[in-house]
Amino acid sequence: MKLFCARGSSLPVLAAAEQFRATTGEAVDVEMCGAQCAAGHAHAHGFFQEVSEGRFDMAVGGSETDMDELDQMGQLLPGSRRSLGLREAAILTPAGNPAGIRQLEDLFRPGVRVGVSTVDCLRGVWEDVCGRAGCISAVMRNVQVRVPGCMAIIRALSRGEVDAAFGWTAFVHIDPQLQVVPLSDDVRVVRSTAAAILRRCEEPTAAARFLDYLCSPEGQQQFASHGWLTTPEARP
Amino acid sequence: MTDEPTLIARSALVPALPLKDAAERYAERTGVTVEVKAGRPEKWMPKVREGAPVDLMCCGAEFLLDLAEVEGLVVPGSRRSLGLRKAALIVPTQNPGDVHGLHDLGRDGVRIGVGVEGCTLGMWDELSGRVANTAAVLGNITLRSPGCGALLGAVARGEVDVGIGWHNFDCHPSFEVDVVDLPDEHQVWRSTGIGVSTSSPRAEDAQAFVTWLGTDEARAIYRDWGWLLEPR
Repeated sequence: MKLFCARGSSLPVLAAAEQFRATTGEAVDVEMCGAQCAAGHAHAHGFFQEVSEGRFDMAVGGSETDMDELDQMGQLLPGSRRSLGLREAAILTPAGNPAGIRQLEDLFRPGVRVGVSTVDCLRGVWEDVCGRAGCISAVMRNVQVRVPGCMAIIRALSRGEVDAAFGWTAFVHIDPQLQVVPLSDDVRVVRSTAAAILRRCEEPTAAARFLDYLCSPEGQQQFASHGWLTTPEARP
Repeated sequence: MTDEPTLIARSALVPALPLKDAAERYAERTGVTVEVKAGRPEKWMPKVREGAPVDLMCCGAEFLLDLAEVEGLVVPGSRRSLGLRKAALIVPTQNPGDVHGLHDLGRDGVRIGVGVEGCTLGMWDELSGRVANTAAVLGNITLRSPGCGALLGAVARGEVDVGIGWHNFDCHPSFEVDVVDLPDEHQVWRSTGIGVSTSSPRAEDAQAFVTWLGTDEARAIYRDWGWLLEPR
């Protein structure tokens, strides 16, 4: 069974796949966005194109929007979509937070370099956070780096190309050097990570079993331990 | 004034309403005419990529202009937020589905329409996430629409019980719909933005119009159409 996963959501999926194999003996081959994902813009060559190539039985996307697009493209098996948990938006900074970013208002300061993603699960998160805070214009003035996707945002932070970026709190599990500046409840945005069986799936029974496993308490524990909100109580 | 438009603006459907009024007022003040061509950005943006003449681009969310800027279609630093819209539930007149809030979206049998292109992209994900019923809402989505016009049409015709849209969607004269407001704690606000096209041969004139859109006179036009204004 072959699964394609957005790289930013891959850690809990890989862990669950390993646990699933250990428990059931069934292997799940998880492939992730490669360098092409990070290099492409929108549909140039990224998540959607990789999933559409017909090599996979199942897909995990970092937001329901991504899955809506796959649905529109006719890629998903109707009725198979499931939410695996929510990620919370946050301001992320490079190690040591050299620009001293403590709150959203710090992003308005002259000279602060803000990074945002223009595609996939983080598309528009900066606007939705700042819209809730009423500071879209103020932050837009300092958006200096626009990159395609989660891994490109993490890379821009790791290289110190930005002083702060909009991402997910769960990113610290990918790069523990990053620092999270939490957003208050009133401006925080959450989006759902979702999975679905693909229309051209060649292993529908195995895919359905793994999908059920991802939604089981054992699977959900993997998401929770990697920073996802998985229970109704944990959600905003 | 001449018959030829001085500037051409491509705009998303509903944001074209105040933009046309603003352009009319601007022409009265300056003699500079701005022709506003309305339609889905996903339709006209490819034409802009291919070199269609355009001086200004206006979209119902900043993330759409982000993508255009990354592609080199918008002059960096030329963009301005013209006002905000907040999320709302759009229902057919008389609200036959009896939808009064986000929790109703998870009810058995409620038919939900969402946009999968354009400015409302992904709003249902955030709204349902805030009330912890993503799975229930997902199960009730019966229409995925390519843009606001198609969504408004589906709601007006009663093809869905509710669409996820904007609080001032009842301002469009072509669609009879009602709006169910959402409480602030569940809100999504997005900005209607405009920027100067990198292909504009009249970039200075286009930028002057963008600057004028920040005046009190222009902001009042947007406020009258229901847009919410950020403090300067």
